[in-house]
Amino acid sequence: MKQILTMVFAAVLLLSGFNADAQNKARRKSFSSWENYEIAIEKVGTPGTKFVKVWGFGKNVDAAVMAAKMNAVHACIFRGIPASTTAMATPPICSHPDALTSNQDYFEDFFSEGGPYLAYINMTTDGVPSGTDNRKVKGGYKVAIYVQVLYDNLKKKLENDGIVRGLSDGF
Amino acid sequence: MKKFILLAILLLGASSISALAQREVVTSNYHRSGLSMVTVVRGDSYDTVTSEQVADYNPGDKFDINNLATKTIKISGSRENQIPKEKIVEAVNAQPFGKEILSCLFNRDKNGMMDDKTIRYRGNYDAKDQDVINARASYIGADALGDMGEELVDKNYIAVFDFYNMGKETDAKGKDTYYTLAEGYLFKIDLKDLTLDEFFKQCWIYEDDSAAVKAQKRKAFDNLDIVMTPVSSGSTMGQSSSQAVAIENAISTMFVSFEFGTTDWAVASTITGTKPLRSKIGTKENLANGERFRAYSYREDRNGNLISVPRGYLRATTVADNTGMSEGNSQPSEFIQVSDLTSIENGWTIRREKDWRLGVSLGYGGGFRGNSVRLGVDYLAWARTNGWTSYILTDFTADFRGGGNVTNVYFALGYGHALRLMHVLEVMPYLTIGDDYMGPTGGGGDNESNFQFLRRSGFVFEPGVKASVNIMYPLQAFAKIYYDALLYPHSTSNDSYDYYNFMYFGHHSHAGMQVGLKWTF
Repeated sequence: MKQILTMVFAAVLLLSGFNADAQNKARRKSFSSWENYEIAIEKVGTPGTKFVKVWGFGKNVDAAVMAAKMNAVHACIFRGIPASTTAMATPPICSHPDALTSNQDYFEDFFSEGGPYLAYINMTTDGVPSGTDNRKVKGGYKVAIYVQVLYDNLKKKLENDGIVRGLSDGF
Repeated sequence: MKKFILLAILLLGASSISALAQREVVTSNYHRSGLSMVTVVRGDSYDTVTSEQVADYNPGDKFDINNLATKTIKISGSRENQIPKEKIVEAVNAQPFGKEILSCLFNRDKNGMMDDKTIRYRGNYDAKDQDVINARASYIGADALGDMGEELVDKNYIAVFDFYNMGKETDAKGKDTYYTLAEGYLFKIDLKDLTLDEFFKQCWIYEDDSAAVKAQKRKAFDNLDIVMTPVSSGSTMGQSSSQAVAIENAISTMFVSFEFGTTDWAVASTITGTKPLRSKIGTKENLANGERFRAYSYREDRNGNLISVPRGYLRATTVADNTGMSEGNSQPSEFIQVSDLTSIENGWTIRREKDWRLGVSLGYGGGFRGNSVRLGVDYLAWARTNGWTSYILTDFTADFRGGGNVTNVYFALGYGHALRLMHVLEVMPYLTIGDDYMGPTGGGGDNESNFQFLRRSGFVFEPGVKASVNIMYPLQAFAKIYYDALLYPHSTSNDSYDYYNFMYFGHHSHAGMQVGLKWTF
């Protein structure tokens, strides 16, 4: 009886380990292919900020909004923000193409649920995403939100953490 | 034959594909329109009263009124008939309405100097909460809102009214009734290929421009080719004991007609809260209790094309006073959903789909006169957020068992207080009071004395309960149970209700049940 219980316990542990590993793999996979979103400068932001309209996808509206917030910060760090009729293009904070993969553990923690990235955005959408900014698509919802990214603060954080080199580093 | 069928299938297929491709995507982008009103005058005694009434008419807070120099257009012709549309279009475009509108928007003075105070004010006034929040998050701040006024330039209209067949009737009791027929035409400014940037470049005069440049810019303004394009029209009539009120009634009805046919005027917004449904529109958009809206959600097809999906209808219940500039925290109005099993969700678009608030029903069932078909018309008087809705009810039927000798008509008026139990189900206790009139065929009318009328009438008090369920809105099925209490003065004289009822009809107090269909207009 004791043997059976031990075997069941071991099996449960093994399965949960497999599950966690599978989740981790899926997360890493989605992390590396994290490019498929739209972002545009809405207007020139207040000093030190970027004011953007960004899209996100999720199984429900709340998840899509969270994804959009992450996308806004992701764009400022890795992709840059394209120019619009009202503003110039914004270059990425991490201009090196391998910045994400070479600091994957750091960014996995940075972009984790409730992670530090949230301190650098301020959502300015009035209520929930509405009208054409709230769309049902295959597998979930695609929403657009207006976000103010605290760009200068974000850049300073990455410099302080040694992810990017500051302007004064060369001297 | 086979070829013909194949061709027909192909054509049908092509037209369906084309219809799908052209399906409008309904959005919540609604902006205020500018409006001015113009009267067609004919050089007769009615010119003054018609033009005064049109000038005094207030179309509501929904419009920015353009005070144009031209308030009338003269077209000669008899007041007996309407002026043909072609002549109206020709006369409108013979006037420089387009340039007058631009002059009004940019406060152009006699020297050709302009400013942007009005257009910036209108941009600020049109701004929604999201615009205000966006402006605050931007570098230029609230100045961004004024810039939005430039987007309103091509949303300016003139409404032209042609009154004809005007007159007065006096009845036997000496009471006057004034009447008028009216045709209305709505024209929209058409800037053609002129962009505002070009307009500013060609016509905007600066203080430090040389006299020659100023003259050149004034000439450029005079040479602008801006036409007014007809976008909607309607016919209506007005009637009242006062001529001014008759004209005003005709204008009011015309505006309802314009609302039906003008997409720019269909107020649209988004749902900002549920339980109760809320949206940030109100008095500024002429929102009134009971007004009907339709909800839309959005989805993308497999090619990423945006599709708006029509959802349930809703009616305004509590109207918020949002007059004034938005400050980013406008109070929302409340709504109640009146169709569709799926609940309307936060973030969905709603767009006004104006209706006459009338329900026309045809039912069959028993009651005081046995089984019969009854025609009912109800008017939605008031809707409340808690689900209660007030209706003014009318009921009509006729009994033809009197042959050609005696006519029987029944007309009832009443009140119903309905409770919406589900989006698609409404239960309404009601009471109607009706007159069951029996008189000799060809008799009655204005020559009948009040005494005769009462002697030929039976009165039916009908308390009852009606349940209505949406089949496919605006089509509803209903069932009602009621009791018809018939009261009448007893008199066996051969021109009384008692006599005709006994001889021909046999109407009597009775419980009844009726089922039928109702269509909401």
